[in-house]
Amino acid sequence: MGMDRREFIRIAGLSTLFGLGGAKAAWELLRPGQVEAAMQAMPKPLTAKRWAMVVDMRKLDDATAQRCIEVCHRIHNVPDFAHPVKPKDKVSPEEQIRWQIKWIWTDPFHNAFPGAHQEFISERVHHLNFLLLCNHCNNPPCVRVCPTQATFQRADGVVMMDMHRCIGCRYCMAGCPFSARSFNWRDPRPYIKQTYPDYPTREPGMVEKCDFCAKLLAKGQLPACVVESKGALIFGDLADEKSPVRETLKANFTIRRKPYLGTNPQVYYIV
Amino acid sequence: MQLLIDWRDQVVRTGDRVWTSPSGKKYYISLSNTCLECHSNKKEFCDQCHNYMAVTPNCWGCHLDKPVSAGKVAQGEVK
Repeated sequence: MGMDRREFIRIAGLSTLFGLGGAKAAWELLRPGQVEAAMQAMPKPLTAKRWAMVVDMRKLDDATAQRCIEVCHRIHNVPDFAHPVKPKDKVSPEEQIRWQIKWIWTDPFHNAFPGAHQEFISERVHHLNFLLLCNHCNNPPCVRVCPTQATFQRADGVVMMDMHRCIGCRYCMAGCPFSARSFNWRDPRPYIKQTYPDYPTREPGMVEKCDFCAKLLAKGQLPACVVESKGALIFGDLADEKSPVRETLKANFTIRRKPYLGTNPQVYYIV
Repeated sequence: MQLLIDWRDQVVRTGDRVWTSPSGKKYYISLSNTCLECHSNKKEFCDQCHNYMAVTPNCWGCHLDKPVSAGKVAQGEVK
Protein backbone atom coordinates (compact mmCIF):
# COMPACT_ATOMS: atom_id res chain seq x y z
CA MET A 1 0.00 0.00 0.00
CA GLY A 2 1.55 3.20 -1.15
CA MET A 3 -0.96 5.52 0.50
CA ASP A 4 0.34 7.98 3.03
CA ARG A 5 -1.65 9.85 5.65
CA ARG A 6 -2.27 12.94 3.52
CA GLU A 7 -3.52 10.93 0.54
CA PHE A 8 -5.88 8.92 2.73
CA ILE A 9 -7.48 12.04 4.21
CA ARG A 10 -7.92 13.61 0.78
CA ILE A 11 -9.69 10.62 -0.69
CA ALA A 12 -11.82 10.13 2.41
CA GLY A 13 -12.89 13.77 2.39
CA LEU A 14 -13.80 13.81 -1.27
CA SER A 15 -15.76 10.59 -1.10
CA THR A 16 -17.70 11.86 1.94
CA LEU A 17 -18.51 15.03 0.05
CA PHE A 18 -19.89 13.20 -2.97
CA GLY A 19 -21.37 10.34 -0.99
CA LEU A 20 -23.44 12.35 1.46
CA GLY A 21 -25.00 15.09 -0.57
CA GLY A 22 -24.61 13.96 -4.14
CA ALA A 23 -22.92 15.91 -6.85
CA LYS A 24 -25.09 19.00 -6.42
CA ALA A 25 -24.19 19.53 -2.75
CA ALA A 26 -20.53 19.04 -3.56
CA TRP A 27 -20.72 21.62 -6.30
CA GLU A 28 -22.59 23.96 -3.97
CA LEU A 29 -19.81 23.74 -1.36
CA LEU A 30 -17.12 24.35 -3.90
CA ARG A 31 -18.80 27.29 -5.68
CA PRO A 32 -21.58 28.68 -3.50
CA GLY A 33 -24.47 30.45 -5.17
CA GLN A 34 -23.67 29.34 -8.68
CA VAL A 35 -26.09 26.45 -8.72
CA GLU A 36 -29.04 28.42 -7.41
CA ALA A 37 -28.30 31.26 -9.78
CA ALA A 38 -28.13 28.94 -12.73
CA MET A 39 -31.28 27.06 -11.74
CA GLN A 40 -33.61 30.02 -11.85
CA ALA A 41 -32.54 32.41 -14.53
CA MET A 42 -33.83 35.79 -13.45
CA PRO A 43 -34.78 38.24 -16.19
CA LYS A 44 -32.55 41.25 -16.56
CA PRO A 45 -34.21 44.42 -15.22
CA LEU A 46 -34.67 47.45 -17.46
CA THR A 47 -32.52 50.30 -16.22
CA ALA A 48 -32.15 53.93 -17.21
CA LYS A 49 -30.79 57.23 -16.01
CA ARG A 50 -34.12 59.03 -16.43
CA TRP A 51 -37.33 57.28 -17.41
CA ALA A 52 -39.83 59.33 -19.37
CA MET A 53 -42.94 58.81 -21.47
CA VAL A 54 -44.37 60.37 -24.61
CA VAL A 55 -48.12 60.14 -25.26
CA ASP A 56 -48.82 60.37 -28.97
CA MET A 57 -52.40 61.67 -29.14
CA ARG A 58 -52.43 61.23 -32.92
CA LYS A 59 -52.38 57.47 -32.47
CA LEU A 60 -54.27 57.15 -29.21
CA ASP A 61 -58.01 56.71 -29.67
CA ASP A 62 -60.56 56.44 -26.87
CA ALA A 63 -60.82 52.67 -27.07
CA THR A 64 -57.05 52.22 -26.72
CA ALA A 65 -56.97 54.65 -23.82
CA GLN A 66 -59.71 52.67 -22.10
CA ARG A 67 -57.76 49.45 -22.60
CA CYS A 68 -54.64 51.08 -21.07
CA ILE A 69 -56.65 52.19 -18.05
CA GLU A 70 -58.21 48.78 -17.66
CA VAL A 71 -54.96 46.84 -17.79
CA CYS A 72 -53.24 49.24 -15.39
CA HIS A 73 -56.02 49.10 -12.85
CA ARG A 74 -56.30 45.33 -13.17
CA ILE A 75 -52.64 44.54 -12.52
CA HIS A 76 -52.38 47.04 -9.68
CA ASN A 77 -55.54 45.96 -7.89
CA VAL A 78 -57.17 49.37 -8.20
CA PRO A 79 -60.75 49.21 -6.88
CA ASP A 80 -63.72 50.10 -9.05
CA PHE A 81 -66.32 51.56 -6.73
CA ALA A 82 -68.96 51.49 -9.45
CA HIS A 83 -68.84 47.68 -9.57
CA PRO A 84 -68.69 46.06 -6.12
CA VAL A 85 -68.11 42.32 -5.89
CA LYS A 86 -71.10 41.90 -3.61
CA PRO A 87 -74.27 43.94 -4.26
CA LYS A 88 -74.50 44.92 -0.56
CA ASP A 89 -71.33 47.05 -0.91
CA LYS A 90 -73.00 49.34 -3.44
CA VAL A 91 -72.08 53.02 -3.08
CA SER A 92 -73.91 56.11 -4.27
CA PRO A 93 -72.73 57.93 -7.43
CA GLU A 94 -71.43 60.86 -5.37
CA GLU A 95 -69.33 58.57 -3.22
CA GLN A 96 -68.07 56.76 -6.29
CA ILE A 97 -66.55 60.03 -7.43
CA ARG A 98 -65.38 61.10 -3.97
CA TRP A 99 -63.63 57.80 -3.26
CA GLN A 100 -62.42 57.21 -6.81
CA ILE A 101 -58.90 55.83 -7.14
CA LYS A 102 -57.09 56.46 -10.40
CA TRP A 103 -53.59 55.68 -11.54
CA ILE A 104 -54.22 56.59 -15.15
CA TRP A 105 -57.26 58.37 -16.48
CA THR A 106 -58.52 60.65 -19.28
CA ASP A 107 -59.53 64.30 -19.29
CA PRO A 108 -60.30 66.82 -22.04
CA PHE A 109 -57.74 69.42 -23.11
CA HIS A 110 -59.00 72.33 -21.01
CA ASN A 111 -58.74 70.21 -17.83
CA ALA A 112 -55.45 68.59 -18.68
CA PHE A 113 -53.67 71.73 -19.85
CA PRO A 114 -55.05 74.74 -17.98
CA GLY A 115 -53.24 77.85 -19.07
CA ALA A 116 -52.71 76.49 -22.56
CA HIS A 117 -56.42 76.62 -23.23
CA GLN A 118 -57.71 79.20 -25.70
CA GLU A 119 -61.16 80.41 -26.49
CA PHE A 120 -60.99 79.24 -30.09
CA ILE A 121 -59.25 75.93 -30.37
CA SER A 122 -59.21 73.27 -33.06
CA GLU A 123 -62.27 71.06 -33.05
CA ARG A 124 -60.20 67.90 -32.88
CA VAL A 125 -58.21 68.97 -29.82
CA HIS A 126 -61.34 70.25 -28.12
CA HIS A 127 -62.89 66.78 -28.22
CA LEU A 128 -59.70 64.86 -27.54
CA ASN A 129 -59.49 62.84 -24.32
CA PHE A 130 -55.93 63.04 -23.06
CA LEU A 131 -54.48 60.06 -21.23
CA LEU A 132 -53.14 61.38 -17.92
CA LEU A 133 -50.97 59.75 -15.29
CA CYS A 134 -48.35 60.67 -12.71
CA ASN A 135 -45.80 62.87 -14.47
CA HIS A 136 -42.85 61.58 -12.43
CA CYS A 137 -41.61 65.15 -12.15
CA ASN A 138 -37.93 65.95 -11.93
CA ASN A 139 -38.72 68.33 -9.09
CA PRO A 140 -41.62 66.50 -7.44
CA PRO A 141 -43.58 68.57 -4.90
CA CYS A 142 -45.12 65.40 -3.42
CA VAL A 143 -41.67 64.21 -2.36
CA ARG A 144 -40.83 67.54 -0.81
CA VAL A 145 -43.94 67.72 1.34
CA CYS A 146 -44.09 64.08 2.49
CA PRO A 147 -43.37 64.11 6.25
CA THR A 148 -42.38 60.43 6.45
CA GLN A 149 -40.47 60.21 3.17
CA ALA A 150 -42.93 57.58 2.06
CA THR A 151 -42.83 59.22 -1.36
CA PHE A 152 -39.35 59.46 -2.76
CA GLN A 153 -37.57 59.75 -6.07
CA ARG A 154 -35.47 56.85 -7.28
CA ALA A 155 -32.16 57.38 -9.02
CA ASP A 156 -33.80 56.55 -12.35
CA GLY A 157 -36.38 59.31 -11.92
CA VAL A 158 -39.39 57.21 -10.94
CA VAL A 159 -41.33 58.87 -8.13
CA MET A 160 -42.12 55.91 -5.91
CA MET A 161 -44.46 55.30 -3.02
CA ASP A 162 -43.42 53.29 0.01
CA MET A 163 -46.90 52.26 1.10
CA HIS A 164 -45.46 50.81 4.31
CA ARG A 165 -44.50 54.27 5.48
CA CYS A 166 -47.49 56.25 4.27
CA ILE A 167 -49.46 57.65 7.22
CA GLY A 168 -52.25 59.03 5.06
CA CYS A 169 -51.72 62.73 5.85
CA ARG A 170 -52.50 63.65 2.21
CA TYR A 171 -49.95 66.46 2.05
CA CYS A 172 -48.77 64.95 -1.23
CA MET A 173 -52.27 65.16 -2.67
CA ALA A 174 -52.36 68.84 -1.81
CA GLY A 175 -48.86 69.25 -3.23
CA CYS A 176 -49.41 67.44 -6.53
CA PRO A 177 -50.70 69.91 -9.14
CA PHE A 178 -51.78 67.10 -11.47
CA SER A 179 -54.25 65.25 -9.19
CA ALA A 180 -52.24 62.12 -9.83
CA ARG A 181 -52.69 60.83 -6.29
CA SER A 182 -55.66 59.10 -4.73
CA PHE A 183 -56.53 58.41 -1.12
CA ASN A 184 -58.02 55.15 0.11
CA TRP A 185 -61.07 56.26 2.03
CA ARG A 186 -62.18 52.70 2.59
CA ASP A 187 -61.10 49.10 2.17
CA PRO A 188 -60.62 48.52 -1.57
CA ARG A 189 -60.91 44.75 -1.47
CA PRO A 190 -64.71 44.47 -1.81
CA TYR A 191 -64.38 46.49 -5.03
CA ILE A 192 -61.72 44.43 -6.77
CA LYS A 193 -63.39 41.85 -8.98
CA GLN A 194 -60.32 39.66 -9.36
CA THR A 195 -57.27 40.38 -7.21
CA TYR A 196 -54.04 40.24 -9.17
CA PRO A 197 -51.67 38.03 -7.15
CA ASP A 198 -48.45 39.81 -8.17
CA TYR A 199 -49.33 43.14 -6.56
CA PRO A 200 -50.67 43.94 -3.09
CA THR A 201 -53.93 45.75 -2.49
CA ARG A 202 -54.07 48.74 -0.15
CA GLU A 203 -55.49 49.48 3.26
CA PRO A 204 -57.72 52.41 4.15
CA GLY A 205 -55.71 55.53 4.96
CA MET A 206 -53.07 55.23 2.28
CA VAL A 207 -52.26 57.33 -0.75
CA GLU A 208 -51.42 55.63 -4.01
CA LYS A 209 -50.40 56.55 -7.54
CA CYS A 210 -48.76 55.36 -10.74
CA ASP A 211 -45.21 54.03 -10.26
CA PHE A 212 -44.26 53.59 -13.95
CA CYS A 213 -44.75 49.84 -13.32
CA ALA A 214 -41.53 49.66 -11.30
CA LYS A 215 -42.25 46.00 -10.63
CA LEU A 216 -42.44 45.19 -14.33
CA LEU A 217 -39.29 47.23 -15.08
CA ALA A 218 -37.47 45.11 -12.50
CA LYS A 219 -38.57 42.04 -14.45
CA GLY A 220 -37.34 43.52 -17.72
CA GLN A 221 -40.77 44.41 -19.07
CA LEU A 222 -42.19 47.73 -20.24
CA PRO A 223 -45.05 49.36 -18.30
CA ALA A 224 -48.40 47.69 -18.90
CA CYS A 225 -50.03 50.73 -20.50
CA VAL A 226 -47.14 51.12 -22.95
CA VAL A 227 -47.51 47.51 -24.07
CA GLU A 228 -51.30 47.81 -24.30
CA SER A 229 -51.22 51.10 -26.28
CA LYS A 230 -49.51 49.43 -29.27
CA GLY A 231 -47.19 52.33 -30.05
CA ALA A 232 -49.25 55.31 -28.90
CA LEU A 233 -47.29 55.51 -25.65
CA ILE A 234 -43.52 55.64 -25.97
CA PHE A 235 -41.36 54.84 -22.97
CA GLY A 236 -37.61 55.14 -22.61
CA ASP A 237 -34.51 56.70 -21.19
CA LEU A 238 -34.24 60.48 -21.56
CA ALA A 239 -30.51 60.36 -20.94
CA ASP A 240 -29.95 57.98 -23.83
CA GLU A 241 -29.84 59.85 -27.13
CA LYS A 242 -30.87 56.79 -29.12
CA SER A 243 -33.83 55.83 -26.95
CA PRO A 244 -37.29 55.83 -28.56
CA VAL A 245 -38.35 58.69 -26.29
CA ARG A 246 -35.51 60.94 -27.39
CA GLU A 247 -36.06 60.04 -31.04
CA THR A 248 -39.75 60.95 -30.73
CA LEU A 249 -39.03 64.19 -28.89
CA LYS A 250 -36.53 65.15 -31.56
CA ALA A 251 -38.97 64.56 -34.39
CA ASN A 252 -42.14 66.07 -32.88
CA PHE A 253 -43.30 69.17 -31.06
CA THR A 254 -44.52 68.17 -27.61
CA ILE A 255 -46.28 69.88 -24.73
CA ARG A 256 -46.29 69.07 -21.03
CA ARG A 257 -48.85 69.63 -18.31
CA LYS A 258 -48.43 72.88 -16.35
CA PRO A 259 -44.71 73.33 -17.05
CA TYR A 260 -44.92 76.88 -15.64
CA LEU A 261 -45.15 75.45 -12.10
CA GLY A 262 -41.55 74.34 -12.28
CA THR A 263 -42.09 70.70 -11.33
CA ASN A 264 -40.51 69.63 -14.63
CA PRO A 265 -42.98 66.85 -15.56
CA GLN A 266 -41.57 63.98 -17.58
CA VAL A 267 -44.65 62.88 -19.50
CA TYR A 268 -44.76 64.58 -22.90
CA TYR A 269 -47.77 64.92 -25.19
CA ILE A 270 -47.86 65.09 -28.98
CA VAL A 271 -51.13 66.78 -29.86
CA MET B 1 -38.98 39.47 11.00
CA GLN B 2 -35.74 41.45 10.60
CA LEU B 3 -35.20 39.70 7.28
CA LEU B 4 -38.67 40.70 6.11
CA ILE B 5 -38.01 44.31 7.08
CA ASP B 6 -34.65 44.29 5.29
CA TRP B 7 -36.24 42.77 2.20
CA ARG B 8 -39.02 45.33 2.26
CA ASP B 9 -36.61 48.27 2.45
CA GLN B 10 -34.33 46.80 -0.20
CA VAL B 11 -37.12 46.21 -2.71
CA VAL B 12 -39.03 49.43 -2.22
CA ARG B 13 -36.13 51.80 -1.72
CA THR B 14 -33.47 50.45 -4.08
CA GLY B 15 -35.61 48.43 -6.46
CA ASP B 16 -33.20 45.50 -6.19
CA ARG B 17 -35.36 42.41 -6.04
CA VAL B 18 -32.69 39.75 -5.65
CA TRP B 19 -31.34 38.85 -2.23
CA THR B 20 -28.13 36.87 -1.77
CA SER B 21 -28.06 34.79 1.38
CA PRO B 22 -24.85 34.41 3.44
CA SER B 23 -24.38 30.97 1.87
CA GLY B 24 -24.47 32.55 -1.58
CA LYS B 25 -27.91 31.40 -2.67
CA LYS B 26 -29.97 33.95 -4.55
CA TYR B 27 -33.63 34.56 -3.84
CA TYR B 28 -36.28 36.64 -5.58
CA ILE B 29 -37.69 38.92 -2.90
CA SER B 30 -41.43 38.48 -2.59
CA LEU B 31 -43.57 37.83 0.45
CA SER B 32 -46.44 36.21 -1.40
CA ASN B 33 -44.35 34.36 -3.96
CA THR B 34 -41.06 33.44 -2.26
CA CYS B 35 -41.79 33.15 1.48
CA LEU B 36 -45.11 31.45 0.97
CA GLU B 37 -43.67 29.21 -1.73
CA CYS B 38 -42.14 27.00 1.00
CA HIS B 39 -43.95 28.16 4.13
CA SER B 40 -47.22 27.70 2.35
CA ASN B 41 -49.30 27.56 5.49
CA LYS B 42 -49.80 31.12 6.69
CA LYS B 43 -51.73 29.92 9.73
CA GLU B 44 -48.77 27.96 11.03
CA PHE B 45 -45.93 30.08 9.69
CA CYS B 46 -47.21 33.56 10.56
CA ASP B 47 -50.30 33.49 12.71
CA GLN B 48 -49.14 30.93 15.28
CA CYS B 49 -46.38 33.11 16.75
CA HIS B 50 -48.30 36.34 16.27
CA ASN B 51 -51.24 34.95 18.21
CA TYR B 52 -48.92 33.67 20.95
CA MET B 53 -47.25 37.07 21.25
CA ALA B 54 -50.61 38.84 20.88
CA VAL B 55 -49.36 41.05 18.07
CA THR B 56 -51.26 41.90 14.90
CA PRO B 57 -48.92 43.01 12.13
CA ASN B 58 -50.88 44.37 9.20
CA CYS B 59 -48.92 42.69 6.41
CA TRP B 60 -51.94 40.83 5.12
CA GLY B 61 -54.11 43.93 5.03
CA CYS B 62 -52.46 44.61 1.68
CA HIS B 63 -50.33 41.62 0.70
CA LEU B 64 -52.30 38.77 -0.73
CA ASP B 65 -52.23 35.32 0.77
CA LYS B 66 -51.63 32.65 -1.84
CA PRO B 67 -54.87 31.02 -2.95
CA VAL B 68 -54.97 27.65 -1.25
CA SER B 69 -55.40 24.66 -3.52
CA ALA B 70 -57.76 21.87 -2.54
CA GLY B 71 -54.93 19.48 -1.68
CA LYS B 72 -53.39 21.86 0.82
CA VAL B 73 -56.64 22.46 2.66
CA ALA B 74 -56.78 18.76 3.36
CA GLN B 75 -53.46 19.00 5.20
CA GLY B 76 -55.11 20.98 7.94
CA GLU B 77 -55.03 24.45 6.43
CA VAL B 78 -58.34 25.84 7.55
CA LYS B 79 -59.66 28.73 5.54
